[in-house]
Amino acid sequence: MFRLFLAVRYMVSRPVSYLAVAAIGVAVMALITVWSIMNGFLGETRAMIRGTTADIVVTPRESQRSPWSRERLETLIVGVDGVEAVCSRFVRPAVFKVHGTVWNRMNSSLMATSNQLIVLGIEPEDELEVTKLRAYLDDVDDPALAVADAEAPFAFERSRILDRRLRNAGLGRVILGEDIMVNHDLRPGMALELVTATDGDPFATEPQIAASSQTFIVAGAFNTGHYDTDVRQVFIERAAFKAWSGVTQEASEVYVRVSADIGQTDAAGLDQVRDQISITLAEDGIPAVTQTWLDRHRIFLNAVENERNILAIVLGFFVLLTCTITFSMLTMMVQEKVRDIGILAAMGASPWGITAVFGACSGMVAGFGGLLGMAAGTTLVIYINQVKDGIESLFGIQIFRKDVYAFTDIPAELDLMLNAKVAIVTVIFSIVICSWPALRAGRMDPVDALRHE
Amino acid sequence: MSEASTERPEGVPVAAAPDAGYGDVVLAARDIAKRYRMGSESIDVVRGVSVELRAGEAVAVMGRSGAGKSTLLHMLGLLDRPDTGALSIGGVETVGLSVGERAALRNRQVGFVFQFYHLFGELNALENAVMPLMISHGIADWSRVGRDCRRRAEELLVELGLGDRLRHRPSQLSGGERQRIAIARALVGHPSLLLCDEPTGNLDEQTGEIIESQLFGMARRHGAALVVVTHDPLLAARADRTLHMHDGRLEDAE
Repeated sequence: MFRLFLAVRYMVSRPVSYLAVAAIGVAVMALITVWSIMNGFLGETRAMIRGTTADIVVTPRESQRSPWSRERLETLIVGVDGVEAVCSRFVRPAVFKVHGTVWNRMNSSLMATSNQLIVLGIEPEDELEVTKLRAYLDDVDDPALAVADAEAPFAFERSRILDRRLRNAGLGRVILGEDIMVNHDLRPGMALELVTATDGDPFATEPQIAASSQTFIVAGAFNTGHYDTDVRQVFIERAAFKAWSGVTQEASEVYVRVSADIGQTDAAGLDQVRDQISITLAEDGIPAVTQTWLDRHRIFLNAVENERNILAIVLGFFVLLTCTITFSMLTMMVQEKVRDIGILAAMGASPWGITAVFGACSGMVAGFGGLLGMAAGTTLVIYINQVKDGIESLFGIQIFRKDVYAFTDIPAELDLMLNAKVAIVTVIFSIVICSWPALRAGRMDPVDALRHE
Repeated sequence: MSEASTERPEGVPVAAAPDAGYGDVVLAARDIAKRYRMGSESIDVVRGVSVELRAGEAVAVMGRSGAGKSTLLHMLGLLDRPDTGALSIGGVETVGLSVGERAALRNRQVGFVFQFYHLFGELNALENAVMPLMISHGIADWSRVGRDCRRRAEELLVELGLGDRLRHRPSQLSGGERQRIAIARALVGHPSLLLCDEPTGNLDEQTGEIIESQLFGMARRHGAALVVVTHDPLLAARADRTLHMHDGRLEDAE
């Protein structure tokens, strides 16, 4: 009974104890917050990449010896076990200008960059089967920018085209990332001109690259939540894409959706389906590169993961450093309480009992510090964006730029078990490094302790 | 009580405690000795002391500084181990006991009163006094017996005239009051042996007399054998017997 009682009294009466609790609390909070944010980044990044791509992407190569057709390619892939649906896409870089504006006035590097696009030619019905396009069409923040019908996203009534002269021109429709529309003040019904390059005979001696330009009507926006995607990507219908770009290929990429049980969590299962697709296409003589979404983004995801781990290690050392404050505090306390140790021994406290008094002191400091850090860290993670907004409005600074991080909010993934583990490890470590002064107290000769001045 | 001299026949105590008017033997030391080494030199601080004490008996130990009084007191209180000899407290032979067993025996059988009180500054009078009982009970026990233990400590403090000082910290009390808390603390566990090292050495004469009177009275009422190490002949005169310690040996003055 005396161990805990005395330890509490020793701790409560010493201001340095509160300082040690606060130091450990701050360190644990920092570790939990950073770990949660980095996990959030990783999770969001994975989700975004996952959402903007497919489970598996097949990139077929042109082959003189064994030319392939889109139908043949898709049929072969759909026939592989685990594959649920496929869709073909065209991909082409382009620049654009808003119809009715003057190109020369946009001739700054900033505008030039913001006008660069990736144009995807899709078959909407197939695309909706394989990717998350449907969800992205629904997730548009500004309802005025949304497409009229998510099931038929390219359908846009002629009467809604703002420039009356274009209503009967039979123009193709385009769906833009919401950030492109916001940045360029575009609305559905407006027109924009897309320019890409077409090429001719690859063996000709004269330059073959020529500009191909067409006007499209904005049908609406999509929002993936991934800034880079939403400021760069454009969908147009497959037929309109072919007419605009003059592409001769059957498809640039084939997007593959595998069954849900494999696609969401089972990386090994996904690899297996990928390998099977590769084998199937190779057996049919179709040269192609087949990659899972993880393959395509492995370096980036690993980099984020490494960054998270390195930060955790650095902050782990910070936590260890704060634990040494408990060590210093306990060492000083033992030095100050030598006479108390003597009288405890005289009253019949065993050496282990005396050790336990001081061990309980370090345990309490670390325990309360760990709990405080866990509670503060968890609260901070939950309200991280409110805190960010508060700091930004209070100091007039921007601490999180969505154009840099590609997220509109700070992503944070709360893992209570992990938080508890951080707190427990802190307590254990603190007790372990404080065992030395506590043991020293227990081993003190009571006669020397009583004579101590 | 006697000194074990080298002339004494082996195995026979020089002087046992007087039987008349006292209870059972609570302390019996036979030929205990203690030697300290300081570098290559060794000093015999206590040399073959034999001593026997009965319940209710009060003995004063006098002697010059460095004569070995405090070392003897520490050995009798199981804070220090004799190099040779045998020591039993409350009928328990202590020579072969482990550190933990000695601590437990000390908690049950021995109470200490020191010159400088040695109270816990963080605790109030009642909490200081009840501490030995806290040491002897675990948390589970304490929920059952804690109330009785606190009542016992409170009764002792009231008996010593500190009824209105129960919640005061040592820093808020006088020297005499602090020493009375130390006496209550020493007696709270019903020890059979009360060991006091210069209990009035830090007090003025008038307060010292009050404390002496309370110390001897309380020890007698609670049936504890009392050993007081002192330089004060007036304090020694209150004891039933006075022993002089000289050069590590005890000499019976009566």
